[in-house]
Amino acid sequence: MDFESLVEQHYRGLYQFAYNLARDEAEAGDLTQQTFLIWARKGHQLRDPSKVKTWLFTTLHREFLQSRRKRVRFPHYELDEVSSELPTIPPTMVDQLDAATVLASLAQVNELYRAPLALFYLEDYSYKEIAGILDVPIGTVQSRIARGKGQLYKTLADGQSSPATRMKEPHE
Amino acid sequence: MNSQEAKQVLLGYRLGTDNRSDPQIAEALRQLEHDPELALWFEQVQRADDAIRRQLRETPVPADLKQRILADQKIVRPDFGWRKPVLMAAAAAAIIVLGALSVWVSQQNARHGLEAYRAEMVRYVSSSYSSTFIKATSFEELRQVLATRKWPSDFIIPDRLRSVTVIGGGAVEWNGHKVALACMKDGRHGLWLFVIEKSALSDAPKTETPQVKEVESEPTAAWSQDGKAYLFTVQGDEAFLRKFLPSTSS
Repeated sequence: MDFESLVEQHYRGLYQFAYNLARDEAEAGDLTQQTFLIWARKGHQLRDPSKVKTWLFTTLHREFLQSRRKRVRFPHYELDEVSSELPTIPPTMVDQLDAATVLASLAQVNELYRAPLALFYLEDYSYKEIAGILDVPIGTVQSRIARGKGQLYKTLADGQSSPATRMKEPHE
Repeated sequence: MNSQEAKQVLLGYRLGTDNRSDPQIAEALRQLEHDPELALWFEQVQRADDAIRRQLRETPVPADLKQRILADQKIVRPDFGWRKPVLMAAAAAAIIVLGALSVWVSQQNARHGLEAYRAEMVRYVSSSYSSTFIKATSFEELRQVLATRKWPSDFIIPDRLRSVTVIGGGAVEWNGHKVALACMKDGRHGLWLFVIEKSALSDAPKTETPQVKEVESEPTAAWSQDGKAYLFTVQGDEAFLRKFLPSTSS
């Protein structure tokens, strides 16, 4: 596949993933550009063409992590359990959801859960593939998606933004 | 499995994915057939997920992004070595080998040396994504978890670190070597102690006297003791770091 076709096929998904991670248009654009730049330099080393998409998402995620270093000094805690209340989104509200609301709500989700959640919704990746991209065990992916969805539903159902410092507030 | 537990399990399930064979998920899915309230809840979750997925996929993408990416590519010189004639590849390889030989030793030393290790570990604790984090409330608890994972656990905690609060640690890899990490805090300041086999570093510290050095604007101290190399860094300045080191540190 030539470079232009590759860009055409994947740049939207990569940008949307980057935007959900970085929550900033410029940074998301930079991350997407940087990912393809790395592909242009190193992509020939990939022997299995079926893994191109995963390679691109893995690279983008790695670049994001590198860009975030220095910003947070404490490792994240894993929450022991999902909040005891598991909210759902009322059907009437589901019909009224728009992209801006969903993006704003996803931005409130604990950062640890945002990447697997974005891959869960944006791409048709299996948990195994998400685990490969994020370099975490498959069970971790599954639990992070479940916990992230719990937070996302709650934020959407509340219809309001709250501080994204949920790391130490598992039962809020 | 009660209804609440089933909900928690089902939140991690997506139709058409490979986790249906998970025994917990299979059980939760079976429970849907006998629990109308749970089934209704799950239907709402599926509907909400579909709506969220649709909306996220409509995230607007900058109109000029594709052109910017393609413009970038034009100034990159892709390495299409596999398309080049064999002779050119052979000539290039010969040049690379000759050049590489002349710097190989120094590169190896740099890659496996203390400075590279210091920098990488400082960057590691700065990362917000620490998927290997282990929760522990004491060094003993942390040692047990690390030992279970066959990671270095017989490290020596400096006396002045024994009074700080242990919050956990990590099992980190560096250049194929196992690195044990102890995470602590003193007030609002984070403290991190990395332990690696001394032999993993080409130029490990020679003595037990901590050598203090700033790396990427962060204070660090490195020393060796009983066959292990220790690296300590804190969330604070050099004076704060020295509070936890023996007074003989240089």
